Amino acid sequence: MKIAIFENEYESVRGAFDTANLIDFDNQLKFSIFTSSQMADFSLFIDFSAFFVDIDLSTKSVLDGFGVIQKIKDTNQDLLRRIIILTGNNKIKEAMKERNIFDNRIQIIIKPTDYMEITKSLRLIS
Amino acid sequence: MKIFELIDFIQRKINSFLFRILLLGYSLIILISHNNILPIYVYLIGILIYCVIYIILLKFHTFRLFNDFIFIAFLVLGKNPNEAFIFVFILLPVINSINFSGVKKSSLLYLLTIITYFGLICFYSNKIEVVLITQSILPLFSLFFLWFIEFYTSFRIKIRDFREKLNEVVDSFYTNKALLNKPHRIYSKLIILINSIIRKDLINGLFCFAIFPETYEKIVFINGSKFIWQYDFPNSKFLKELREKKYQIDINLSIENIHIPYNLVLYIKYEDVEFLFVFTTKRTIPFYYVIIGFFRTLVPSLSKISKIILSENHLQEIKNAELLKLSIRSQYVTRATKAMHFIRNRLGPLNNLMRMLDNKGLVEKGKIESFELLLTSERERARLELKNIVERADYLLEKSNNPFNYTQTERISLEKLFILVKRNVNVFFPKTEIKIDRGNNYEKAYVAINDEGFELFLSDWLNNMKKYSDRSVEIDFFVSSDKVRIIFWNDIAEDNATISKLISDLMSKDRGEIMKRTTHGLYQIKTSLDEMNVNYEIKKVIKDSVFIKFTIELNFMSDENSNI
Repeated sequence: MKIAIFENEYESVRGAFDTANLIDFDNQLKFSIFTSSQMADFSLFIDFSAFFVDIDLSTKSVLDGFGVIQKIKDTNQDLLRRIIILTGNNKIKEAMKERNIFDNRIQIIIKPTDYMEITKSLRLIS
Repeated sequence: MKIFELIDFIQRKINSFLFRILLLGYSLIILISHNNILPIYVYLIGILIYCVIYIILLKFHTFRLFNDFIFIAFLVLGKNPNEAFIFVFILLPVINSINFSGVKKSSLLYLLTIITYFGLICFYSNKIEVVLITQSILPLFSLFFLWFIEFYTSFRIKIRDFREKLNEVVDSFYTNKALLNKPHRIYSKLIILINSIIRKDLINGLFCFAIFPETYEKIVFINGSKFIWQYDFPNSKFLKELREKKYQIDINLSIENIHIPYNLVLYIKYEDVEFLFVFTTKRTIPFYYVIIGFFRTLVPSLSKISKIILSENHLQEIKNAELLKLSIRSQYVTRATKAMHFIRNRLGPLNNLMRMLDNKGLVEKGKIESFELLLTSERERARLELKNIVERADYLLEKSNNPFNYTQTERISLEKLFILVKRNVNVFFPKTEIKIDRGNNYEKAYVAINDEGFELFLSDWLNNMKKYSDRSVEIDFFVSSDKVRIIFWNDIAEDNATISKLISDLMSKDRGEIMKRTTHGLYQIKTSLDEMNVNYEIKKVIKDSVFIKFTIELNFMSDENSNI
């Protein structure tokens, strides 16, 4: 199961992902970490089972998290249900509505998170 | 039509009417006292026709003038124009010429007077001879001389009116809302006005440039009848000449890379700033306008514009300083928000660690070893992140980083302090007069406060007074030899326990941290006064009812520097 993670501070969530992988997915999850949008090849996204997207990406990133979501949406509308936003902003829904990218299919995890929330969100997708 | 113009118009109409009455009265006396060449009824019919034509031509000044002279000539025909009584009759329109202001009209008036006079002389003598001219040389010379004086006076009045209109246009900057912050809009009005006085299309642009002391010799575009991106003035020799002569005509100027062959540059210096007002024209400015100094009449109005521009610049500087302050605060708020996001992010390992510890007992035996390894690394990460969180929290708690504190005080005069108090009191209690007692202390005195912090305190406390006062409010401003005391009195309808809590909250040195969480308003009042090192005291006073007496004391400073 391939998981894409757009996160510029991966270390702060690595434990949660690794623990979820060990405890609930028997280390079957393969994580691809993207600290900036240009690291990702969006044409290959269909292969990923889930996209964890942090809104604040690296300052060198061309797109922020909203831009990444828009790109995924433009690539394939059906991929929206595989998106899980990871953010410290509890007003994220309003921010998404302002940018016209809000979609009920997108899951939101408000930081700080733990491995159980990661597992729960992945199970909701599959 | 403006009120003054309307009054002037009515007055001139009355004058015009009175003049015709005079003319008719005078003509009747002439008819009675002199021999007439026509029967009297013909003259009476003539008078009637004159009156009817006058009423018909009421709006046409020039035709009315012709009507007057035809009537005068008709009456005087065959009588000796050099006879004093008749001569004055012929001169009546000239005597009345104060009602004419235009150069053209007064020229016509004198021309008609001279023609009428000379025609009547010829008719009376029944011949046209040079000798007649020599006989009448004195009256004719007088008339020509009067004509010249009238011409000069009319021109002087015209220039005076022009200057008044110019001032009116510039003054409209202060009264016309549309012009506020947009002084350049005055230029198009000035162009229309100047063109209306001289040639209709002579001036097609007006631009203001300035040389500021800090940008030595660099000519900076300020504003104009239209915006310009590029411009080029001649070399510094031009500036030297301009400074000496105060004006230059047809300098080698280009605007937007287009050569402007015809122009006029007027030089005005105000404070340390030199202003160059450039008029672009369709043709060279006629030389006689330069000789008579016509463009000098523009200088007072352009000086006013210079002052406006400088004031706008000063206001802009104040605005920039305020914007900078606002920007620092905005950055602080953004950093504070980011710090909270940072903390949320960094709490991730700790949160996960706790969840892992909670569920450790549920982990399958085969995974426990790997789980322990993950637990160890997550514990290390959590420890590291906690350190990061504490460091970030330290930054937020550091007072010197907080632009919302009022520890930076400045010296302000007692007068300014009073104005601050009065302005705020007027907002909350417009009917309340501040009681002032200066004793014999009329020396210039200064106190140290933070303007903003003090206004915030005033606004918060006065708002509190308004909220809790039952009906009676008093504010005292007492000056002694070394300090000023401002006392705020208000009656209060709250119960004893609430009043005691208010007093203890404000006066206690040990409850600040609790107040932060419970009474934000009082905490803000206390903090702003503490930060400015202002002494204060609050008491319950029983007069005819229960009063709160809040006193603040500001000690005088010895330094003479002040902002006011």
